[in-house]
Amino acid sequence: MSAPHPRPVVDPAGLSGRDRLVVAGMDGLFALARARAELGAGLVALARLGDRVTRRAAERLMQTVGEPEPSVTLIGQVKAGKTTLLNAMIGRPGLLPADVNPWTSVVTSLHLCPPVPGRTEGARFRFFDEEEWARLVEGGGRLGELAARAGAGDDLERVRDQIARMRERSRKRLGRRFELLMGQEHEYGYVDAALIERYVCLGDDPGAAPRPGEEQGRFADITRTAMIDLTVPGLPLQLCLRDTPGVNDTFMMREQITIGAIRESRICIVVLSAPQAMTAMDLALMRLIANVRARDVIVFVNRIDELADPVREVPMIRARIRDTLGQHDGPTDAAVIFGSAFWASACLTGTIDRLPPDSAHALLDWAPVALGEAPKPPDDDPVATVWALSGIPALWQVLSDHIAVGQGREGLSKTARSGLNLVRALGASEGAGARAIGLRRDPGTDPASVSARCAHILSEALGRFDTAAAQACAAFAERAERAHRQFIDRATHSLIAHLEAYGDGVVWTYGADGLRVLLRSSYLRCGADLHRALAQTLERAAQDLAGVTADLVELEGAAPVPLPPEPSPVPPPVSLGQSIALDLQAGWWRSWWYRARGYEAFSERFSALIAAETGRMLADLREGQLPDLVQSLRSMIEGFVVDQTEMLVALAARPDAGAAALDRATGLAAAAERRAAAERLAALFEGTLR
Amino acid sequence: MKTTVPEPSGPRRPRLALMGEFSAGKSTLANLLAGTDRLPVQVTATELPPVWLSATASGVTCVRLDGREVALEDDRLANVDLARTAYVRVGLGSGLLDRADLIDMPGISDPNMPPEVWQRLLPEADAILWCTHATQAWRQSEAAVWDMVPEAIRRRSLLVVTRIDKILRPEDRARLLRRLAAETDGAFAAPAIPVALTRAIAGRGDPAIWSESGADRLMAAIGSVLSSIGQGVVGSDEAGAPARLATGSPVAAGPASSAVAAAQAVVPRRIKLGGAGAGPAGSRATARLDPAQSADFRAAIGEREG
Repeated sequence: MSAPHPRPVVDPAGLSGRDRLVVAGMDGLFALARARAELGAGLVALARLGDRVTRRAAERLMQTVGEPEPSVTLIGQVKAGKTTLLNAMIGRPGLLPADVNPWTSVVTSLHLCPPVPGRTEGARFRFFDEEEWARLVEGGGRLGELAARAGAGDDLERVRDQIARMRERSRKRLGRRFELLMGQEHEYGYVDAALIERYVCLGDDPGAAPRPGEEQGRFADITRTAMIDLTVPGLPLQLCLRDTPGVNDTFMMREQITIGAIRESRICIVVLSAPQAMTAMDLALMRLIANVRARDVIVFVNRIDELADPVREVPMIRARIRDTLGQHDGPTDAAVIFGSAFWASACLTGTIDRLPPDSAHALLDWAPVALGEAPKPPDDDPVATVWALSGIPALWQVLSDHIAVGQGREGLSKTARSGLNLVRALGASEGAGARAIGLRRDPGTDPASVSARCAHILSEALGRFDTAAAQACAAFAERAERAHRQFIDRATHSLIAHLEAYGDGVVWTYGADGLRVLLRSSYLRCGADLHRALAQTLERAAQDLAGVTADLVELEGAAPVPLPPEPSPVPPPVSLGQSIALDLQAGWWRSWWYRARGYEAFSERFSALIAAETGRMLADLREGQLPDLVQSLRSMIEGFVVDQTEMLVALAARPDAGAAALDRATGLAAAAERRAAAERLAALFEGTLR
Repeated sequence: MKTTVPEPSGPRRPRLALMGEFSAGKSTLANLLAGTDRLPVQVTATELPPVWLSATASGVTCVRLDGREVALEDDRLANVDLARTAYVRVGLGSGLLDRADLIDMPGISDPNMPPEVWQRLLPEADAILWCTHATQAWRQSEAAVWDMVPEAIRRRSLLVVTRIDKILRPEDRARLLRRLAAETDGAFAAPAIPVALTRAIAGRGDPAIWSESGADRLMAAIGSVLSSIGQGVVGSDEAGAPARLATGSPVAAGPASSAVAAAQAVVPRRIKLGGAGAGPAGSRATARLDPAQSADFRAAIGEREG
């Protein structure tokens, strides 16, 4: 396999037409791509400079320069215009089907990539498997579970009935293949709108029998996820955009899927509809996300083309969003961008001269005001002007900045750190840092002994970390359970006080956000404890490994201590983002309350419901997220020690002293040059880290 | 807690409540039906209490939760203390108001408006015109509230799909209506009625626009609703009659001829354009744009003069 080469970053000025529109506002991404390219070039130089082990390690690192793939999820209510917005953002109007009816329940991940020779577009569609279906039919999904707990058996029945009908429909249409298809994945080496429609869009009314030859929606109701690889000309780097079915549809399964998809991305774009922005449902959604990841929420207020008077109305909507978020402890610092995916689509399809009259009026009205704020279009091109008014470049700008300072920065640091270690290791064997005098030939410096010593260092490190991690998790469990008990007590008191004061004719509501805040801080504290334990363990292991180096190589000065990797920030407690019964105040909660009232043991039933619901959040943190976190940190220790082991064993296996051998082969002048090159690389990597 | 509200005095007329999410077109519909522009219409939630339009009342009166009535001297609906107000009564006899009272409710799903504000007035309504925005029609938050409305009222009520002109393709409109028919099967007196309200208001008096906007079908359906209420209301014209309904009066879409008659009866006589914001938007934009750029730009986006 040939060594991967960093791709040159395309100059956006060289693009034309549509391609140029699409990359407008991506300045942050271009800067990130350039920083990556620089780092990549450094790694290429390092690979040329070093021995076989160093070269392999540098090549491995090159593969990770683009990681992690920045990922963004679009969420919002059904029909807020998420899909049309996504299509516009990638310059492919009509690629993902945007239906007037919210039929789809598929999460679609678009993996976007600059055009690269040999990489083709394609799509993979994964179907529900038997077990997932069975769980849905049996329990009625999450909604069924909630309804059952609230004692609203008829809701549970209704949801079960819906799911059973859906299944029956698919079975009828797909015949014997239905069972075969369950759990399968279909892969295609191309992608177009018709193909996607076939898998994610139910097409016409689900009740209707398909017309003969009707291809649309053949598999849509059994598709679970769609993964689509696309090339976007001019795109500076690879990234993933995710479309979700949306919340507040009449079939709550989509809500569950949407909330689940928030886990996959660090950044969320909440899409609101300008003619009806910031309803109780939007607010609930934003607070839910904010509980999880406070900083990375961007609000896009879509459909300003439908406003009668955007100049007057946009500031009103903006003020209302701010006020509402402020009054209800929402994320007031979230960026709010106004725009119209409809106008953007018109730019891409070359139909800005055929806008409906109302839309054209809104555009003309909005233009002089908005052009003061939006990134300036490059010239007097009307298409570029409308594109700027669509808000898409402004959205990309905010998005790019979020990506660049968040995941982008972390990825660069991680790679630079490992690069620096390689340079330093090179120094240890070749005398570029501390001066190597020669390889020692003492007993215990043979490769097998070095390997055994390193294995011991690893098992000691893991043992120390496991002990500390167990302590941190136990402390979390104690704090979290105490918070949970107190929350239930307070909620029950509030419920009883409410019933005494108002009876059961007035709905009692009680926010679960207080509990979320407590659980979140307990979790983050535990995460910080784990990071501290990791840092201490790695520090100690690094010292021990430096000890091995010192015994292996005769050095002028101290042996270099390898730089331990830094963990990514503690992943957000996404389990807290799941909606629980208390969050559904606007709808289900109210109707359950009215239907359950008058029953005996009313308050007991609701207390038990709250305990079960919040207990679930707690259990997900304790049994899911924390063990996952511990495992990922543990594997960082393994990765670090194993990498260092490989290099030390390679050093021990040298037939001769490293520096001297190389000097003989290449001449002293060459060695000095290599030292200077290694120092330059070290400076490059250190510069990235600052 | 007392959940009833003070009764209005005067003869008992059928009462139509306008409900839906905020900015779903409730107040626009009320203005259309009453042939007025009294109700403020805006894109964000209007934080007003329920507004009860009635031909049997006079002036503008704020009816407090404790039953006291305070005349609003400056005739303004804003600045009413929401926490103490049951509703605001407005005396108005135009348009449909000679046959029925209209109650313009605050929007559901407004995070800044406690649902009790509209919930406590709900028992006073004989039927509901539920407004839902075509581009995001009939969401779970609406269905859940609708579930709580008493069966007898639901069976007399209508689902009005506003801003239907924002769904551009006719086949998409048809598909939207098919979904609504499936999801609201049996929950309303009649199939959902699509209407372009602002177009209807602009086209008052022009039969072609009136019909194209869907307003004629809406009026016919409202006519049927009113006749079904007329059969159900006990002593509908007695002064101070209790607002109790005979339950379970069956509602069918009236025969075509009576629907047409009803439609003719409720078409507003007055033709008047809406509030100050209704002027052509382009004129304002022109004032701020550089004239040369503006002309080119307008030409580029195919702006039609007028």
